[in-house]
Amino acid sequence: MSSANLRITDFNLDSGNVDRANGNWTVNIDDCREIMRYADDETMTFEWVLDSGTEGTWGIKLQQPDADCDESDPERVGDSDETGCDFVTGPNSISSTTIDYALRPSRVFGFSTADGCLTRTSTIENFDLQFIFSNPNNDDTSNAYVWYQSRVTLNTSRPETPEINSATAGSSVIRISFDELDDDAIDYRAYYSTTPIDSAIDPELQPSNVSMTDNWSGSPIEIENSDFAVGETYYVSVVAINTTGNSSELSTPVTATLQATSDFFETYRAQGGVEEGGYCAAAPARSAAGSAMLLMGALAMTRRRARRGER
Amino acid sequence: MRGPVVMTALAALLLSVPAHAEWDDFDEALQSDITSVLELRIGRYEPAIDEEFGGDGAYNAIFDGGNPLHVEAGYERQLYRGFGSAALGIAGGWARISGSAIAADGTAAPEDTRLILAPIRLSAVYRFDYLQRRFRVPLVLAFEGGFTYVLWSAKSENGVSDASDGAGGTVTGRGGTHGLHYGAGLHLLLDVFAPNMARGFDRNVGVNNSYLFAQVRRSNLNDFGDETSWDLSDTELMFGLAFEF
Repeated sequence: MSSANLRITDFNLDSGNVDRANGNWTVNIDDCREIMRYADDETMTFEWVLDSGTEGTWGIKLQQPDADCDESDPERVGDSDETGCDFVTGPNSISSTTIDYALRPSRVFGFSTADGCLTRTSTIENFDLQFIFSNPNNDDTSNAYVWYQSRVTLNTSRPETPEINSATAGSSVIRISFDELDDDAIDYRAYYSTTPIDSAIDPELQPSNVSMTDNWSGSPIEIENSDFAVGETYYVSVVAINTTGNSSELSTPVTATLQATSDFFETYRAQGGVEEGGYCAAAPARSAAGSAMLLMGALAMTRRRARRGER
Repeated sequence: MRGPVVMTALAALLLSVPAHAEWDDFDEALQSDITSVLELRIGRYEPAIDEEFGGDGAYNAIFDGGNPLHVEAGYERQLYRGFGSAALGIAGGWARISGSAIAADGTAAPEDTRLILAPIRLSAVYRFDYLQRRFRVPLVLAFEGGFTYVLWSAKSENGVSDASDGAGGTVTGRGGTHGLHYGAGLHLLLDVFAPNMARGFDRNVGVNNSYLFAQVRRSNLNDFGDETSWDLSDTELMFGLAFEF
């Protein structure tokens, strides 16, 4: 028997999409675009760990989506019934209980540009890497081979696009309210810019002058930015983010203009409020009763102390 | 409507008091000395800031006339015990309310604004517990009056507010407002519901009596009518626990 570990190097990927225990990896749009930066480098490393035995041979087949490889024999490559199966390597002699093999992303996915991640006709595609070992005894029984499959799922499906209800602006914050989708697991993110946002462009391809917020769990999203200045108009849009990490298309942008605000005390004073702050206030003549009470209290305390002193 | 309900609830509580003999065993002479009272109370505080504007000013516009939760802790030192008890006490409270700032176009802005109130009270307190001690009636009337100083702070997203003084300067949104308060409350002695537990509470912790109470308190807080002071007055209904020890 053998086990397999998926080892992916050199990428800063969404770790939530890697199931190392079962050797499965879901590649979302951002991961895909990251990977395709090194499309023709051998950067996707798969590791196989054998429990025992270093005799026999091994090979790898790459099963394209919708193909049906014969996993029993690494040497049966190119058979007519194995359309869609790519014989990656083998048969090789087993020389160690740990076997590493690195693949080029372009070979796994069949394309080599970041834009290719955004133009898939099918949004969920499974690429299966079948690691096949010959039995150390190399016999002809049904136990002659063992195999382990690692599945790389390219998931470019996007959630629905939310719609903005309103965008209000103060002097330093823009608040966007929108209709949430019927899925609590969905997050949201806002895009904003002082120039118009083209929502027909994929979120991942927005120009650099379009900023975006961190993920929010729901409506509203509040955008704060130290560059905000009263009088500036911002175009804002929101996207939904599904559990795979893919964002929806951008919602129809709306505008919000930053404007001066009055807090509670400013509003109070602007209305003619008389309070002037500070910690001391001189009591006017008409409140002599109150002042007298304070004075009497102070005198009483003084007399009490004096009596204690006499004792 | 509330009156009959409260009376019914009170009657039910009194009827649930354990057998008279059991409570009679709770001899005051066996208790430790009583010198102090610790009180924890909670209520809602709605300062009368908008009275300055005929009842509809900034407080109503921004806080929607809200009455934030007001929590308070107090300590009293009893100076006399005889026909009732008399004490001097100090208490500190805290209340906070927040709302949306107002944008230039008159709408609610995304920025928050807050008002924080921290009343400090010095009080003279009289507790009429004669009926409790003499006739085992588990009710005590308490009266208090004294001086209040409210520390307050008005804040925006950027910290303490700075408002225009109308002459090119600014007025900082924090300060203190003082005045007087007075009130009356009804305390229900909890010991009668669990005399054994009450005895243990005294023996182990030194708490002689525990009370659940309701109190109505009027505070007149406007710097004794100073014309540069706002009005933080209010009449509060507060509920709490008191421990005599």
